[in-house]
Formats: sequence, structure tokens, C-alpha cells
Amino acid sequence: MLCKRAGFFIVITIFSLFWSCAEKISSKIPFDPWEHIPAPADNAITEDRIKLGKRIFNDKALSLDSTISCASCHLESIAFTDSVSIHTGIKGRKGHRNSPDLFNLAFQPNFFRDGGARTIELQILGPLQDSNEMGLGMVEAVRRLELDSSYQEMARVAYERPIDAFVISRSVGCYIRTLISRDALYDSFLESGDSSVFNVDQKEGLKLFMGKGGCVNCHSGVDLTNYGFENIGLYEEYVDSGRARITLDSKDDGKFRVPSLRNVSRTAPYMHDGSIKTLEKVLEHYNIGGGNNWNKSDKISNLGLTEHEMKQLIAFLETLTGNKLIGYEGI
Amino acid sequence: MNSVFFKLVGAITISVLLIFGCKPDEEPKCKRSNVYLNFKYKFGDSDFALETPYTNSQGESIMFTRSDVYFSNFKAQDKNGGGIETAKIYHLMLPGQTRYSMGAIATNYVDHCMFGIGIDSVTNKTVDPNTYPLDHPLGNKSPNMYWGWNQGYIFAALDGYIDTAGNGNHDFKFTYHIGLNELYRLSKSFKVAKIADASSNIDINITLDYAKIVDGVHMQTEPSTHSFSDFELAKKLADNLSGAFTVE
Repeated sequence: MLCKRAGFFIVITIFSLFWSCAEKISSKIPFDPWEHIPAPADNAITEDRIKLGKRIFNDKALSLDSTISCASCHLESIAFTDSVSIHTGIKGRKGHRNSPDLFNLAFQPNFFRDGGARTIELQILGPLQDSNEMGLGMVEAVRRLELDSSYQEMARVAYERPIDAFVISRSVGCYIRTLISRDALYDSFLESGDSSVFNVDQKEGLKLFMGKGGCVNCHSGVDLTNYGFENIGLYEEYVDSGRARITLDSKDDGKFRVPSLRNVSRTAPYMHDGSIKTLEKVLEHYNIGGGNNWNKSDKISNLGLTEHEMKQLIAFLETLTGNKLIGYEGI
Repeated sequence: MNSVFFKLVGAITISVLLIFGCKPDEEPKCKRSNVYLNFKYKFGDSDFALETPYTNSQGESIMFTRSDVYFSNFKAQDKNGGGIETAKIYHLMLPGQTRYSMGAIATNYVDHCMFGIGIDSVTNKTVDPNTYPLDHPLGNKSPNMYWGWNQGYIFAALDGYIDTAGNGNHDFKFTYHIGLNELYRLSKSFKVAKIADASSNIDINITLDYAKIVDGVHMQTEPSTHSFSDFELAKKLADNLSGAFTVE
């Protein structure tokens, strides 16, 4: 295993020398997700906890009128997104933002598109309480689930305590933490360092990603995100101020999290509000240097990509698609 | 030899106790007392209750339907201005409850006291309400006292309605939710000069005047803040709230 990893690092080093920006590809690759998924001290990952969390995640009893569950807006078949611009919550109410995908959140430092939640276990309170999403709140969620003896039994097995806010938040957190995408063609390349896994267009797309396209300036590392927040000039004036809602700092106006590009070909529509429907349109936005906004990131500038180059970039982005969830496979 | 030694030690011990031991009221540090804050809720000169109309300083008829206010970090001082060690206790103040225990202190006299209104920044940004039972002040509440989006406690939630037409119908909603570390406030340092009673209790009587909380707020044109959305209004309300407490 060590030799394999050492070999991998050497390949990455060579790769970095070849393309000037490639050093931004991190060497933090969990080959064995079970061994490498980080988990807090009070929520070590176990099979019983994942099972319980998965059940709660899919339970519509967690919404006020029992019409939606977490899974209603995070469908496994499309990388835990929902294919609509803005999701619909209870009573047909529109939410506020596009549903983000849930892959590889175990490696993310904070949560929501504005970073307002500091742990996976805490972020569940966001949709659970929001009157435009599930509208229930943790107090009522506990009251509902504690009436179900099978939940009580699962809680005792998983956490040695009755079902309560701790068990609900921890088990859902445990389940989400194990949603790992690491079997894309891109991963084969990262692990082997062998670019022959790519066809010509994919290979050229990677070069553009690292070079002329400048994508790697923000979409770096194994999960193709620097976990930062950027204003990409989507609007001249943002209705949703994004990160500034959290920091109350105008310098963060219109900034949203740089999303992971894992499975990006399956997570349309794009942007924080789902306002761009296709990957082609996303690339067009960046190719013209975005729109005008006083706070636009200086990383966004006219790229001058040809139509053919944009197609090659998309060919590379499609190599980021994984087909299975490694973390809870078999559970 | 042993007998003489033990007698000597015993005599010294008794002497030390006689010289340095407790004297009633003169060495209060030897006594343990339980401190209670007793709140009286007022709106100006009237007793305050939810679902009851009052007239604010703008001449508007208003009615509160919710008042949940966190207070914490009770501090006490002795007559020399020295701090008295107190437990770190959090309470959610509800108009239906008037007496709150602040824990035991190692004295029978409190000269000054103060407390925080809200949740201090350390607790606010490190605590996960899911780790507390629902009946703990810091646990999840219904209605919520913890924001799901910009995570942290709501220090004070004051909701109600305004009678905008002056026809007796309170149908215009106001929602004042104060939170964020920047809006944590300390009360004044109150002179209380309280000695423990025969049951070793020190009861400190405090009045919270809701009229002062909304004083200077034009509630019809400033009907809502969630702190992030209208920070200046939230700041005004947080300042008003911290000045709305008085001690009898």
C-alpha cells in the first residue's frame, strides 16, 4: 500500500512539473474510504449508524406534512441533487437555493452554499427547520420518531441510547459522511498517473482545465474545489447575498461556495440558484469573463476558448462522473 | 508520645479554627448560598403578559405573542468589588416563569451583579444543540431558538402583532429575532446588596420592561429583523433589551 501511494505521489509530482498549475491537485486521496473518512469523536462510522441515518434520510415523517424527506431533494440517481433550479418544500413552497450534491461532504470544512453550517451533524437543522423546506424542527422530529419502536431499537443498537436529537443528527451525519464518489475515470488517472485512461478530447480537456481555462484556480484538489467562496459575476446585483449573509461583510457579497465538480455532468442545473441549465452554458458564462459585478473575483476573466475547446473541456468534466457510492456499498 | 502529639495537633487545629474560622456575617465566604433571579415583567407601568395589547412610545397598539430571551453568565461581586465564583448557567426566560436559579455561591452576601443577554460567543459558535436534551436551555426548542442557516442561537425572539388601523384588530405582524455574536450584550452592573435569608437563599428581584425594548422603534415601518437581514434594527433592539432590566 505504501509503495503504491509513494508511486502515486511521484506521478503527481511529475504531472505537476508538466503543467504549471498541477501542484493544486492535492495528494490527499483516500484509497480506502472506510479508513480515511474523517469522523468526529462522538460519531465514529459504523454500519448500524449508517443504516439508521439512511432510514431517517428517506423518511417523510421528518417534514411537517409528511410529504417530503431529505431524499426528495437529494436523489441518489442524480448525485443527490434534484434536477430543478430551486427545490419545492412542504405545501408547494419554493426553497431558496439549488439543492447541492452530497458527495464527499466528509472532506468539506463547512456546509451550505454560504458556509453557514460548521458540521455535517448541525447542517441537518437547516432544511429540517426551514418553513420553505421540511418545516418541522428537531423537537417535533424527535417526538415523531420516538413513537416508533423500530427506531428506538435501531438507536439503541447504533448509539446505546433512545432516539433523540443527538441520534437523529449523528446518524444522518454518519450516512452523509459515507457518500463517497471515488470511482470516476479521473480517479483511475489520479491513482495510476496514466493519462492513457483518457481519450484525446478528455486529455486536451484536462490541459485546458489546468491551463487556458483557468478552472483549476478554484477547482483544485481531489474533489476539484478549494472549498472557498467566490463571486463569479452571475448578476450585476445579487438578490441572494450569499456568503455576506453569514459574515455580514460586504466584501463577501455575491460569493458562494466553489462547488466540487465530482459528477458535475449529472448535477444540472447549475449555480447557487440553478439559473444555468447546461454545462455548455456554464462554460459560455466563464468564457466571456462572467457578467458585471462590483465584487467579481479577479480570477474570472475572458478566456477566449473556442467552441471545440469547450467541447474538450466538457469531455474532461464527464470523466469526473462516478458510478457507485463507495462508502456505504452493500449496506 | 503519640497521645501528646495528637493532643498538640488537635489544640493547634482548634486554635486556628477559632482565630480564622467563620464569624456570622463578618466572614461570609464560609457560607454557601443559592442565588435566584426573580423577574417581574412590565410594559411601562402595567404588568406584562403575552396576548395583551399595550401602547408603545409611538402610540401604536401592540401585542406580543412570543417572548423567549436567553440570559447567562451571571456574575456577582462582594462589597469590595471582588468577583464571586458563579456557575456558568444558561436560562431561557419565558414570561410564564419568574424564578431562575443561578446556582450556589460561597458567600451569603452579593453586593453587585450582572448577567449576559444572549449566549456568549464561545458557546454560541461551538455548542451543538443536538447534544443537549430537549428540556435543557441549550437544547433544541419549539419554536426554534437556534438558526439552521447561519448557525448560532437566537438570543431573543420577540414576535407579535400591531393594530395598524386602530380598530382593535392586531393583524400586522412584527418579528424581532436577535442573534449573532456581535449582538451579545451584558446588563448593567446592578447594586443589589442582598444577604442570604434563613434558607440560605439570595433572591434578586429584577424587572424587565418590554416598553423599553421597543422604545424608539417605529414598529410599522420596522416590523422585522432576523439580525442578518436588518442588522441595525437588531442592534437597536439588542441595546434596548440590555437596558430594559432594572433591579429593585
